[in-house]
Amino acid sequence: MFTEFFQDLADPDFPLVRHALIAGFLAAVPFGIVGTYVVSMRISYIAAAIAHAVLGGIGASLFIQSRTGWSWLNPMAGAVATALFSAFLIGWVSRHAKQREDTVISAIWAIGMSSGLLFIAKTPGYIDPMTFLFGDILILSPRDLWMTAILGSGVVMTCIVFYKELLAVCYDREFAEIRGIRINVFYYLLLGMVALTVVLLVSVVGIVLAIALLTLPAAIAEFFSRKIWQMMVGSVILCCFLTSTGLALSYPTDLPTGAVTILLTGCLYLFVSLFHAVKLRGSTRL
Amino acid sequence: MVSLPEEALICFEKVTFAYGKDPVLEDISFEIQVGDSACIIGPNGGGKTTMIKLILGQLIPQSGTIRIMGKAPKYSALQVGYVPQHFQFDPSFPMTVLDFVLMGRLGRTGWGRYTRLDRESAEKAMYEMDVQNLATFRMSNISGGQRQRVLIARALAGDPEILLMDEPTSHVDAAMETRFRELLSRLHLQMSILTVSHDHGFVSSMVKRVICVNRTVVLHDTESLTNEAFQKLYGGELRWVNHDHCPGGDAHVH
Repeated sequence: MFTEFFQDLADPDFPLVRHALIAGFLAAVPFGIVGTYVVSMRISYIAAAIAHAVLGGIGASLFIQSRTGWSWLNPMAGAVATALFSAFLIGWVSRHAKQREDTVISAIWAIGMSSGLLFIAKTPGYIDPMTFLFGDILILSPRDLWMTAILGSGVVMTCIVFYKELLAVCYDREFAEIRGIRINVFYYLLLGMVALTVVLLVSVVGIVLAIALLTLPAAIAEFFSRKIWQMMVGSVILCCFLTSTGLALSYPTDLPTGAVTILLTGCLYLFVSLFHAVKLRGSTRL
Repeated sequence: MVSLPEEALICFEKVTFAYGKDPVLEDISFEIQVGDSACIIGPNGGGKTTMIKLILGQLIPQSGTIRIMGKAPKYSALQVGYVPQHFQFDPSFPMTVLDFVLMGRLGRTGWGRYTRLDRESAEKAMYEMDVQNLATFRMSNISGGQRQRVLIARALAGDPEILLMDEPTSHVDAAMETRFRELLSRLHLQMSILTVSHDHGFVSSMVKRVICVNRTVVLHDTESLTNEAFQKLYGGELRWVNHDHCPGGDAHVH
Protein backbone atom coordinates (compact mmCIF):
# COMPACT_ATOMS: atom_id res chain seq x y z
CA MET A 1 0.00 0.00 0.00
CA PHE A 2 2.83 2.38 0.88
CA THR A 3 5.14 1.33 -1.97
CA GLU A 4 3.91 4.14 -4.23
CA PHE A 5 4.40 6.67 -1.41
CA PHE A 6 7.99 5.61 -0.73
CA GLN A 7 8.81 5.39 -4.46
CA ASP A 8 7.57 8.95 -5.05
CA LEU A 9 9.37 10.11 -1.93
CA ALA A 10 12.66 8.78 -3.30
CA ASP A 11 12.04 10.03 -6.87
CA PRO A 12 14.32 13.07 -7.47
CA ASP A 13 12.05 14.32 -10.27
CA PHE A 14 8.95 14.32 -8.07
CA PRO A 15 9.50 16.82 -5.24
CA LEU A 16 5.87 17.24 -4.08
CA VAL A 17 5.81 14.38 -1.57
CA ARG A 18 9.30 15.21 -0.33
CA HIS A 19 8.35 18.86 0.15
CA ALA A 20 5.17 17.85 1.98
CA LEU A 21 7.09 15.56 4.32
CA ILE A 22 9.76 18.21 5.02
CA ALA A 23 7.02 20.83 5.55
CA GLY A 24 5.35 18.55 8.10
CA PHE A 25 8.61 18.07 10.00
CA LEU A 26 9.53 21.77 9.89
CA ALA A 27 6.05 22.91 10.89
CA ALA A 28 5.99 20.39 13.76
CA VAL A 29 8.45 22.59 15.68
CA PRO A 30 6.26 25.73 15.96
CA PHE A 31 3.10 23.59 16.20
CA GLY A 32 4.48 21.66 19.15
CA ILE A 33 5.97 24.62 21.01
CA VAL A 34 3.20 27.15 20.47
CA GLY A 35 0.55 24.43 20.92
CA THR A 36 2.01 23.73 24.36
CA TYR A 37 1.50 27.35 25.39
CA VAL A 38 -2.01 27.41 23.90
CA VAL A 39 -3.01 24.26 25.83
CA SER A 40 -1.33 25.33 29.07
CA MET A 41 -2.92 28.77 29.03
CA ARG A 42 -6.31 27.38 27.95
CA ILE A 43 -6.52 29.80 25.01
CA SER A 44 -7.57 27.32 22.29
CA TYR A 45 -10.65 29.44 21.63
CA ILE A 46 -8.45 32.47 20.89
CA ALA A 47 -6.26 30.41 18.53
CA ALA A 48 -9.36 29.08 16.75
CA ALA A 49 -10.72 32.62 16.33
CA ILE A 50 -7.41 33.81 14.82
CA ALA A 51 -7.38 30.82 12.44
CA HIS A 52 -10.88 31.59 11.18
CA ALA A 53 -10.28 35.35 10.95
CA VAL A 54 -7.35 34.60 8.62
CA LEU A 55 -9.84 33.85 5.80
CA GLY A 56 -10.76 37.56 5.82
CA GLY A 57 -7.13 38.48 5.08
CA ILE A 58 -6.76 35.79 2.43
CA GLY A 59 -9.96 36.90 0.68
CA ALA A 60 -9.09 40.62 0.90
CA SER A 61 -5.59 40.08 -0.51
CA LEU A 62 -6.93 38.02 -3.45
CA PHE A 63 -9.57 40.67 -4.17
CA ILE A 64 -7.16 43.62 -3.96
CA GLN A 65 -4.55 41.72 -6.00
CA SER A 66 -7.11 41.10 -8.76
CA ARG A 67 -8.07 44.79 -8.84
CA THR A 68 -4.64 46.40 -8.52
CA GLY A 69 -2.28 43.77 -9.86
CA TRP A 70 -0.02 44.05 -6.81
CA SER A 71 1.81 40.75 -6.98
CA TRP A 72 3.38 41.16 -3.52
CA LEU A 73 -0.05 41.11 -1.90
CA ASN A 74 -0.39 37.31 -1.97
CA PRO A 75 -2.78 35.30 0.24
CA MET A 76 0.07 34.49 2.68
CA ALA A 77 0.78 38.21 3.27
CA GLY A 78 -2.93 38.87 3.82
CA ALA A 79 -3.17 35.93 6.21
CA VAL A 80 -0.14 37.08 8.27
CA ALA A 81 -1.46 40.66 8.53
CA THR A 82 -4.96 39.55 9.55
CA ALA A 83 -3.66 36.97 12.03
CA LEU A 84 -1.42 39.52 13.76
CA PHE A 85 -4.15 42.17 13.80
CA SER A 86 -6.77 39.76 15.24
CA ALA A 87 -4.27 38.51 17.84
CA PHE A 88 -3.55 42.08 18.94
CA LEU A 89 -7.27 42.93 19.05
CA ILE A 90 -8.16 39.80 21.03
CA GLY A 91 -5.24 40.40 23.39
CA TRP A 92 -6.36 43.97 24.00
CA VAL A 93 -9.95 42.91 24.62
CA SER A 94 -8.94 40.09 26.97
CA ARG A 95 -6.82 42.54 29.01
CA HIS A 96 -9.31 45.39 29.12
CA ALA A 97 -12.83 43.96 28.77
CA LYS A 98 -12.64 40.55 30.45
CA GLN A 99 -16.42 40.16 30.79
CA ARG A 100 -16.98 40.55 27.02
CA GLU A 101 -13.94 38.53 25.91
CA ASP A 102 -15.78 35.50 24.51
CA THR A 103 -18.35 37.66 22.69
CA VAL A 104 -15.69 39.80 21.03
CA ILE A 105 -13.65 36.70 20.08
CA SER A 106 -16.77 35.17 18.47
CA ALA A 107 -17.39 38.41 16.57
CA ILE A 108 -13.81 38.47 15.20
CA TRP A 109 -14.15 34.78 14.24
CA ALA A 110 -17.45 35.39 12.36
CA ILE A 111 -16.44 38.68 10.70
CA GLY A 112 -13.18 37.12 9.44
CA MET A 113 -14.93 34.10 7.92
CA SER A 114 -17.81 35.99 6.32
CA SER A 115 -15.74 38.86 4.92
CA GLY A 116 -13.28 36.32 3.50
CA LEU A 117 -16.05 34.44 1.70
CA LEU A 118 -17.52 37.73 0.37
CA PHE A 119 -14.14 38.92 -0.95
CA ILE A 120 -13.54 35.53 -2.62
CA ALA A 121 -17.05 35.64 -4.17
CA LYS A 122 -16.34 39.06 -5.69
CA THR A 123 -12.83 38.17 -6.93
CA PRO A 124 -12.80 37.51 -10.71
CA GLY A 125 -12.03 33.94 -11.74
CA TYR A 126 -12.74 30.73 -9.86
CA ILE A 127 -11.16 30.37 -6.41
CA ASP A 128 -12.12 27.34 -4.36
CA PRO A 129 -12.48 28.36 -0.68
CA MET A 130 -12.03 24.66 0.22
CA THR A 131 -8.29 25.04 -0.46
CA PHE A 132 -8.06 27.48 2.43
CA LEU A 133 -10.64 25.84 4.66
CA PHE A 134 -9.02 22.39 4.54
CA GLY A 135 -5.48 23.16 3.25
CA ASP A 136 -3.24 20.98 1.10
CA ILE A 137 0.24 20.11 2.23
CA LEU A 138 1.02 18.67 -1.23
CA ILE A 139 0.94 22.09 -2.92
CA LEU A 140 3.56 23.75 -0.71
CA SER A 141 6.41 25.39 -2.63
CA PRO A 142 10.12 25.60 -1.64
CA ARG A 143 9.39 29.22 -0.65
CA ASP A 144 6.74 27.97 1.80
CA LEU A 145 9.31 25.55 3.24
CA TRP A 146 11.77 28.38 3.83
CA MET A 147 9.09 30.47 5.51
CA THR A 148 8.20 27.52 7.76
CA ALA A 149 11.86 27.00 8.66
CA ILE A 150 12.34 30.70 9.47
CA LEU A 151 9.20 30.81 11.60
CA GLY A 152 10.19 27.61 13.40
CA SER A 153 13.64 29.03 14.18
CA GLY A 154 12.09 32.27 15.44
CA VAL A 155 9.71 30.40 17.74
CA VAL A 156 12.52 28.18 19.12
CA MET A 157 14.79 31.18 19.76
CA THR A 158 12.01 33.15 21.48
CA CYS A 159 11.17 30.18 23.68
CA ILE A 160 14.80 29.61 24.69
CA VAL A 161 15.48 33.26 25.50
CA PHE A 162 12.18 33.93 27.33
CA TYR A 163 11.52 30.41 28.67
CA LYS A 164 11.36 31.45 32.35
CA GLU A 165 9.27 34.53 31.71
CA LEU A 166 6.76 32.78 29.43
CA LEU A 167 6.43 29.92 31.90
CA ALA A 168 5.73 32.35 34.75
CA VAL A 169 3.18 34.29 32.68
CA CYS A 170 1.41 31.03 31.77
CA TYR A 171 1.39 29.57 35.29
CA ASP A 172 1.13 32.45 37.75
CA ARG A 173 0.53 35.80 36.09
CA GLU A 174 0.10 37.70 39.37
CA PHE A 175 3.43 36.52 40.77
CA ALA A 176 5.20 37.21 37.46
CA GLU A 177 3.91 40.78 37.55
CA ILE A 178 5.08 41.25 41.16
CA ARG A 179 8.55 40.03 40.13
CA GLY A 180 8.73 42.79 37.53
CA ILE A 181 7.88 40.72 34.43
CA ARG A 182 6.02 42.84 31.87
CA ILE A 183 3.15 40.42 31.54
CA ASN A 184 1.33 42.39 28.83
CA VAL A 185 4.42 42.37 26.59
CA PHE A 186 4.82 38.60 27.00
CA TYR A 187 1.10 37.97 26.52
CA TYR A 188 1.15 39.87 23.21
CA LEU A 189 4.37 38.08 22.23
CA LEU A 190 2.67 34.75 22.83
CA LEU A 191 -0.41 35.78 20.86
CA GLY A 192 1.86 36.97 18.04
CA MET A 193 3.55 33.57 17.94
CA VAL A 194 0.12 31.89 17.97
CA ALA A 195 -0.96 34.10 15.03
CA LEU A 196 2.08 33.27 12.88
CA THR A 197 1.86 29.55 13.71
CA VAL A 198 -1.82 29.54 12.82
CA VAL A 199 -0.97 30.92 9.34
CA LEU A 200 1.40 27.98 8.86
CA LEU A 201 -1.24 25.57 10.10
CA VAL A 202 -3.70 26.96 7.58
CA SER A 203 -1.35 26.02 4.73
CA VAL A 204 -0.81 22.52 6.13
CA VAL A 205 -4.27 21.44 7.32
CA GLY A 206 -6.50 24.43 6.56
CA ILE A 207 -8.51 26.89 8.65
CA VAL A 208 -11.14 24.47 9.96
CA LEU A 209 -8.71 21.80 11.16
CA ALA A 210 -5.87 24.08 12.31
CA ILE A 211 -6.88 24.19 15.95
CA ALA A 212 -6.86 20.38 16.26
CA LEU A 213 -3.22 20.04 15.13
CA LEU A 214 -2.23 22.95 17.36
CA THR A 215 -3.80 21.66 20.56
CA LEU A 216 -4.29 17.88 20.48
CA PRO A 217 -0.61 16.78 20.22
CA ALA A 218 0.23 19.14 23.11
CA ALA A 219 -2.73 17.83 25.10
CA ILE A 220 -1.50 14.24 24.54
CA ALA A 221 2.05 15.19 25.57
CA GLU A 222 0.68 16.88 28.73
CA PHE A 223 -0.36 13.47 30.09
CA PHE A 224 3.26 12.28 30.11
CA SER A 225 5.16 15.44 31.10
CA ARG A 226 6.43 16.80 34.42
CA LYS A 227 7.91 19.95 32.91
CA ILE A 228 6.70 22.25 30.18
CA TRP A 229 9.80 21.70 27.99
CA GLN A 230 9.09 17.95 28.09
CA MET A 231 5.55 18.72 26.89
CA MET A 232 7.01 20.82 24.04
CA VAL A 233 9.43 18.10 22.94
CA GLY A 234 6.72 15.42 23.18
CA SER A 235 4.34 17.59 21.21
CA VAL A 236 6.91 18.27 18.44
CA ILE A 237 7.65 14.53 18.12
CA LEU A 238 3.93 13.75 17.97
CA CYS A 239 3.36 16.44 15.32
CA CYS A 240 6.18 14.93 13.21
CA PHE A 241 4.64 11.50 13.57
CA LEU A 242 1.08 12.67 12.83
CA THR A 243 1.86 14.82 9.78
CA SER A 244 4.09 12.13 8.20
CA THR A 245 1.68 9.29 8.97
CA GLY A 246 -1.25 11.37 7.73
CA LEU A 247 0.63 11.99 4.49
CA ALA A 248 1.65 8.33 4.12
CA LEU A 249 -1.92 7.11 4.70
CA SER A 250 -3.65 9.66 2.47
CA TYR A 251 -1.26 9.64 -0.49
CA PRO A 252 -1.83 6.10 -1.83
CA THR A 253 -5.58 6.24 -1.12
CA ASP A 254 -5.97 9.71 -2.70
CA LEU A 255 -7.70 11.14 0.38
CA PRO A 256 -7.36 14.73 1.63
CA THR A 257 -4.15 14.76 3.72
CA GLY A 258 -5.36 17.40 6.20
CA ALA A 259 -8.52 15.45 7.04
CA VAL A 260 -6.63 12.15 7.44
CA THR A 261 -4.01 13.82 9.67
CA ILE A 262 -6.62 15.39 11.93
CA LEU A 263 -8.72 12.21 12.13
CA LEU A 264 -5.60 10.35 13.19
CA THR A 265 -4.76 13.08 15.74
CA GLY A 266 -8.27 13.11 17.19
CA CYS A 267 -8.41 9.31 17.50
CA LEU A 268 -4.99 9.21 19.17
CA TYR A 269 -6.07 11.91 21.64
CA LEU A 270 -9.29 10.08 22.53
CA PHE A 271 -7.40 6.78 22.94
CA VAL A 272 -4.72 8.32 25.20
CA SER A 273 -7.35 10.23 27.25
CA LEU A 274 -9.32 7.03 27.76
CA PHE A 275 -6.17 5.09 28.68
CA HIS A 276 -5.17 7.81 31.13
CA ALA A 277 -8.64 7.94 32.72
CA VAL A 278 -8.71 4.14 33.16
CA LYS A 279 -5.19 4.19 34.62
CA LEU A 280 -6.14 7.01 37.00
CA ARG A 281 -9.27 5.18 38.14
CA GLY A 282 -7.21 2.03 38.74
CA SER A 283 -4.63 3.86 40.83
CA THR A 284 -7.39 5.64 42.86
CA ARG A 285 -8.99 2.29 43.70
CA LEU A 286 -5.64 0.88 44.84
CA MET B 1 29.79 63.14 61.79
CA VAL B 2 26.05 63.26 61.09
CA SER B 3 24.31 59.89 61.03
CA LEU B 4 21.53 59.52 58.48
CA PRO B 5 18.13 58.53 59.87
CA GLU B 6 17.44 54.85 59.28
CA GLU B 7 14.79 54.20 56.59
CA ALA B 8 11.53 52.73 57.86
CA LEU B 9 10.69 49.25 56.60
CA ILE B 10 7.21 50.34 55.51
CA CYS B 11 5.96 53.91 55.56
CA PHE B 12 2.41 54.95 54.57
CA GLU B 13 1.83 58.69 54.60
CA LYS B 14 -1.72 60.05 54.17
CA VAL B 15 -2.58 57.25 51.73
CA THR B 16 -6.05 57.09 50.21
CA PHE B 17 -7.18 54.44 47.77
CA ALA B 18 -10.58 53.79 46.17
CA TYR B 19 -11.66 51.29 43.49
CA GLY B 20 -14.66 53.44 42.63
CA LYS B 21 -16.08 56.41 44.50
CA ASP B 22 -15.94 55.11 48.07
CA PRO B 23 -12.42 54.87 49.49
CA VAL B 24 -11.29 51.46 50.74
CA LEU B 25 -8.43 53.08 52.63
CA GLU B 26 -8.73 56.69 53.71
CA ASP B 27 -5.91 58.99 54.76
CA ILE B 28 -3.88 56.28 56.47
CA SER B 29 -0.44 56.87 57.92
CA PHE B 30 1.82 54.46 59.80
CA GLU B 31 5.41 53.28 59.96
CA ILE B 32 6.96 49.89 60.65
CA GLN B 33 10.65 49.89 61.51
CA VAL B 34 13.29 47.55 60.08
CA GLY B 35 13.55 44.34 62.09
CA ASP B 36 9.97 44.54 63.39
CA SER B 37 7.45 41.88 62.58
CA ALA B 38 3.97 43.22 62.06
CA CYS B 39 0.53 41.80 61.45
CA ILE B 40 -2.32 43.38 59.50
CA ILE B 41 -5.70 42.45 60.96
CA GLY B 42 -9.21 43.62 60.26
CA PRO B 43 -12.67 42.55 59.11
CA ASN B 44 -13.49 41.34 55.59
CA GLY B 45 -13.70 44.27 53.21
CA GLY B 46 -11.69 46.38 55.63
CA GLY B 47 -8.86 46.93 53.13
CA LYS B 48 -6.27 44.27 54.12
CA THR B 49 -5.83 42.89 50.60
CA THR B 50 -5.78 46.39 49.14
CA MET B 51 -2.99 47.28 51.55
CA ILE B 52 -0.99 44.23 50.40
CA LYS B 53 -1.46 45.23 46.76
CA LEU B 54 -0.31 48.75 47.55
CA ILE B 55 2.80 47.41 49.31
CA LEU B 56 3.54 45.17 46.31
CA GLY B 57 3.07 48.04 43.87
CA GLN B 58 0.14 46.34 42.12
CA LEU B 59 -2.09 49.30 42.96
CA ILE B 60 -1.22 52.99 43.05
CA PRO B 61 -2.87 55.22 45.67
CA GLN B 62 -4.98 58.17 44.57
CA SER B 63 -3.17 60.32 47.11
CA GLY B 64 -0.37 60.02 49.64
CA THR B 65 2.99 58.26 49.43
CA ILE B 66 4.17 54.76 50.21
CA ARG B 67 7.82 53.93 50.85
CA ILE B 68 9.14 50.39 51.25
CA MET B 69 12.69 50.50 52.60
CA GLY B 70 12.88 54.10 51.40
CA LYS B 71 11.79 53.35 47.83
CA ALA B 72 8.52 53.45 45.92
CA PRO B 73 6.80 50.00 45.94
CA LYS B 74 7.46 49.54 42.22
CA TYR B 75 11.22 49.67 42.84
CA SER B 76 11.24 47.63 46.04
CA ALA B 77 9.07 44.71 44.87
CA LEU B 78 12.09 42.44 44.42
CA GLN B 79 12.99 42.92 48.09
CA VAL B 80 9.57 41.62 49.14
CA GLY B 81 8.89 37.88 49.19
CA TYR B 82 5.16 37.46 48.74
CA VAL B 83 3.16 34.42 49.85
CA PRO B 84 -0.48 34.60 48.66
CA GLN B 85 -3.38 33.21 50.68
CA HIS B 86 -5.09 31.42 47.82
CA PHE B 87 -2.98 29.93 45.10
CA GLN B 88 -5.18 28.85 42.24
CA PHE B 89 -3.40 26.72 39.71
CA ASP B 90 -4.18 24.39 36.87
CA PRO B 91 -3.54 20.84 38.21
CA SER B 92 -2.85 19.49 34.73
CA PHE B 93 -0.10 22.07 34.06
CA PRO B 94 3.28 20.29 34.02
CA MET B 95 5.14 22.11 36.77
CA THR B 96 7.53 20.56 39.28
CA VAL B 97 8.07 21.91 42.77
CA LEU B 98 11.69 22.87 41.92
CA ASP B 99 10.61 24.84 38.82
CA PHE B 100 7.93 26.54 40.89
CA VAL B 101 10.41 27.60 43.59
CA LEU B 102 12.82 28.80 40.88
CA MET B 103 10.14 31.30 39.81
CA GLY B 104 11.08 33.19 42.98
CA ARG B 105 14.38 34.08 41.24
CA LEU B 106 12.61 36.06 38.51
CA GLY B 107 13.83 39.63 38.54
CA ARG B 108 17.08 38.53 40.22
CA THR B 109 18.43 36.72 37.17
CA GLY B 110 19.08 37.53 33.49
CA TRP B 111 17.61 36.21 30.23
CA GLY B 112 17.84 32.57 29.26
CA ARG B 113 18.20 29.67 31.65
CA TYR B 114 18.39 29.87 35.41
CA THR B 115 21.98 30.11 36.62
CA ARG B 116 23.77 27.91 39.14
CA LEU B 117 23.29 30.68 41.74
CA ASP B 118 19.53 30.62 41.08
CA ARG B 119 19.43 26.87 41.59
CA GLU B 120 21.47 27.10 44.77
CA SER B 121 19.14 29.79 46.18
CA ALA B 122 16.07 27.72 45.30
CA GLU B 123 17.55 24.55 46.84
CA LYS B 124 18.54 26.45 50.00
CA ALA B 125 15.00 27.85 50.33
CA MET B 126 13.53 24.37 49.82
CA TYR B 127 15.87 22.94 52.43
CA GLU B 128 14.89 25.70 54.85
CA MET B 129 11.21 24.86 54.36
CA ASP B 130 11.90 21.12 54.49
CA VAL B 131 10.48 20.47 51.02
CA GLN B 132 13.73 19.48 49.28
CA ASN B 133 12.48 15.90 48.92
CA LEU B 134 9.51 17.18 46.86
CA ALA B 135 11.69 18.81 44.17
CA THR B 136 10.64 16.47 41.35
CA PHE B 137 6.99 16.19 42.39
CA ARG B 138 4.33 17.88 40.30
CA MET B 139 2.62 20.78 42.06
CA SER B 140 -0.69 18.93 41.74
CA ASN B 141 0.69 15.91 43.65
CA ILE B 142 1.50 17.62 46.95
CA SER B 143 -0.80 18.34 49.91
CA GLY B 144 -2.20 21.74 50.93
CA GLY B 145 0.26 22.04 53.85
CA GLN B 146 3.21 21.11 51.61
CA ARG B 147 2.02 23.63 49.04
CA GLN B 148 1.99 26.34 51.71
CA ARG B 149 5.64 25.57 52.53
CA VAL B 150 6.53 25.48 48.83
CA LEU B 151 4.93 28.92 48.40
CA ILE B 152 7.09 30.27 51.23
CA ALA B 153 10.17 28.58 49.70
CA ARG B 154 9.42 30.39 46.42
CA ALA B 155 9.24 33.70 48.29
CA LEU B 156 12.52 32.94 50.10
CA ALA B 157 14.32 31.93 46.89
CA GLY B 158 14.35 35.58 45.83
CA ASP B 159 16.46 36.51 48.92
CA PRO B 160 13.85 38.96 50.22
CA GLU B 161 14.33 41.46 53.02
CA ILE B 162 10.63 41.44 53.86
CA LEU B 163 8.45 38.34 53.90
CA LEU B 164 4.83 39.32 53.21
CA MET B 165 2.33 36.55 53.94
CA ASP B 166 -1.42 36.62 53.43
CA GLU B 167 -3.18 34.38 56.01
CA PRO B 168 -0.20 32.04 56.39
CA THR B 169 -1.98 29.59 58.71
CA SER B 170 -5.13 29.21 56.60
CA HIS B 171 -4.06 25.84 55.13
CA VAL B 172 -2.12 24.61 58.14
CA ASP B 173 -3.68 22.18 60.61
CA ALA B 174 -3.30 22.40 64.40
CA ALA B 175 -0.40 19.94 64.55
CA MET B 176 1.49 21.75 61.82
CA GLU B 177 0.76 25.19 63.27
CA THR B 178 3.27 24.84 66.11
CA ARG B 179 6.04 23.86 63.68
CA PHE B 180 4.98 26.70 61.44
CA ARG B 181 5.33 29.25 64.24
CA GLU B 182 8.80 27.92 65.08
CA LEU B 183 9.73 28.24 61.45
CA LEU B 184 8.55 31.84 61.28
CA SER B 185 10.45 32.67 64.47
CA ARG B 186 13.57 31.28 62.80
CA LEU B 187 12.94 33.28 59.62
CA HIS B 188 12.38 36.41 61.68
CA LEU B 189 16.06 36.27 62.65
CA GLN B 190 16.94 36.77 58.97
CA MET B 191 14.25 39.18 57.76
CA SER B 192 11.24 41.29 58.68
CA ILE B 193 7.92 39.49 58.48
CA LEU B 194 4.61 41.12 57.63
CA THR B 195 1.52 38.95 57.86
CA VAL B 196 -2.16 39.37 57.24
CA SER B 197 -4.18 37.28 59.66
CA HIS B 198 -7.55 36.99 61.30
CA ASP B 199 -5.93 34.76 63.92
CA HIS B 200 -5.49 36.60 67.22
CA GLY B 201 -3.34 33.80 68.64
CA PHE B 202 -1.00 34.20 65.70
CA VAL B 203 -0.84 37.94 66.38
CA SER B 204 0.09 37.68 70.04
CA SER B 205 2.77 35.04 69.66
CA MET B 206 4.54 36.18 66.54
CA VAL B 207 4.52 39.91 66.12
CA LYS B 208 5.52 43.14 67.79
CA ARG B 209 3.25 45.57 65.96
CA VAL B 210 -0.36 45.17 64.88
CA ILE B 211 -1.90 47.21 62.08
CA CYS B 212 -5.68 47.24 62.59
CA VAL B 213 -7.30 48.07 59.24
CA ASN B 214 -10.91 48.98 58.65
CA ARG B 215 -10.80 51.77 56.07
CA THR B 216 -8.59 53.66 58.49
CA VAL B 217 -5.61 52.30 60.39
CA VAL B 218 -4.74 52.09 64.06
CA LEU B 219 -1.25 50.88 64.96
CA HIS B 220 -0.85 48.95 68.21
CA ASP B 221 1.96 47.32 70.11
CA THR B 222 1.00 43.69 70.66
CA GLU B 223 0.84 44.17 74.43
CA SER B 224 -1.68 47.00 74.12
CA LEU B 225 -4.25 44.96 72.15
CA THR B 226 -7.39 44.62 74.24
CA ASN B 227 -10.82 43.13 73.78
CA GLU B 228 -12.19 46.67 73.39
CA ALA B 229 -9.71 47.42 70.61
CA PHE B 230 -10.89 44.34 68.69
CA GLN B 231 -14.56 45.16 69.25
CA LYS B 232 -13.96 48.64 67.92
CA LEU B 233 -12.14 47.28 64.88
CA TYR B 234 -14.69 44.61 63.98
CA GLY B 235 -17.65 46.85 64.90
CA GLY B 236 -19.57 44.48 67.18
CA GLU B 237 -19.54 41.98 69.97
CA LEU B 238 -16.80 39.38 69.58
CA ARG B 239 -16.52 35.94 71.08
CA TRP B 240 -13.15 34.48 72.01
CA VAL B 241 -12.58 30.82 71.36
CA ASN B 242 -9.79 29.16 73.26
CA HIS B 243 -8.03 26.54 71.20
CA ASP B 244 -6.81 24.04 73.76
CA HIS B 245 -4.89 22.05 71.16
CA CYS B 246 -2.56 24.99 70.59
CA PRO B 247 0.27 25.36 73.07
CA GLY B 248 -0.29 28.36 75.24
CA GLY B 249 -4.07 28.26 74.82
CA ASP B 250 -4.15 30.66 71.88
CA ALA B 251 -7.39 32.43 71.15
CA HIS B 252 -9.08 33.33 67.87
CA VAL B 253 -11.53 36.06 67.14
CA HIS B 254 -14.85 34.77 65.87
